[in-house]
Amino acid sequence: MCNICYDCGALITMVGCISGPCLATVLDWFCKIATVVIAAFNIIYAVKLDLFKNKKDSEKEERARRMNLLKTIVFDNTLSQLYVFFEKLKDALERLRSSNVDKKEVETELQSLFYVFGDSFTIYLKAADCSLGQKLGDLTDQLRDNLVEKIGDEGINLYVEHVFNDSIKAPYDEYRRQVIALLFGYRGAS
Amino acid sequence: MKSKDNIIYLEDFRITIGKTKSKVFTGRDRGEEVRSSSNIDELYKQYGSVKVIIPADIFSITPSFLEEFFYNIVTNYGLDEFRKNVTIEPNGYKIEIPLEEGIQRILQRKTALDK
Repeated sequence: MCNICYDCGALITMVGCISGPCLATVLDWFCKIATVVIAAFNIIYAVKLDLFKNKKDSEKEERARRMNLLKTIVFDNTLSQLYVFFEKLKDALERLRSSNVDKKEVETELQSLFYVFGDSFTIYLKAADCSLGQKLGDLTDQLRDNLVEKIGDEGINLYVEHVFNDSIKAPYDEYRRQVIALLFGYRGAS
Repeated sequence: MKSKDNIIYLEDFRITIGKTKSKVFTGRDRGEEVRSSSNIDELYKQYGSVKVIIPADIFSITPSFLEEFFYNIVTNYGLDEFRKNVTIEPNGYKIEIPLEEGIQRILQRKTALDK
């Protein structure tokens, strides 16, 4: 329990009496130390904030650079291949609507189309951004595997309209959607 | 089971549902599974060569399957050795395109891992 002596302003504590002038000195030192500590903290905070901001800016610039280069080096030269692939694949699959179609021929054509697509588009994407290219490769593989399984299954009558739509058209449409979403969602980092 | 010595009949590894046998070999998971159950890596190591026989009524084999099936042989022994010592009897199936694509993928993966 502390009290202040109203005559001399000294602080009276359990262990003794701290005189007025001495108390002022202690408080003064405390104030100075606190000022130095607060200033130091402010400097550290300012430096950390600056470093953090610089890092964020660099990351943003790097992502923008990557997106620009992807556009210039890859998309400007190869994006048309993607749409050519979509169209040629659609044409090949449409043949399955006929009950007379030679499915083996269609399968051979599909293998060739997928191969050319991988060689003319996916490979460049992988070179620019391995993860993005791999995701596209996985989506394409899933579609290919799905299609050949359905086409090769003799129990599935693809010449029936709704069977074709469910087994062939729907996966094809979903694939196109996923590919465009993947490319559109690219933010320069995967 | 027809496979013996260093001859692998893919017929032995077809998925069967009831009386229906699958006419396709697709997917990396399946490729890995057949690689393991056929023991192709060990057979190649033991005999120095392997022959793979494709069933006559197979409809499709996709590169994702072949990529995993042959992955260890190509990466451990190299492409030249693979072409010299791995024989594939296609039995009418046009395997050239999916096989080439599968091999290219193995080499691309290997290059990426080597970096």
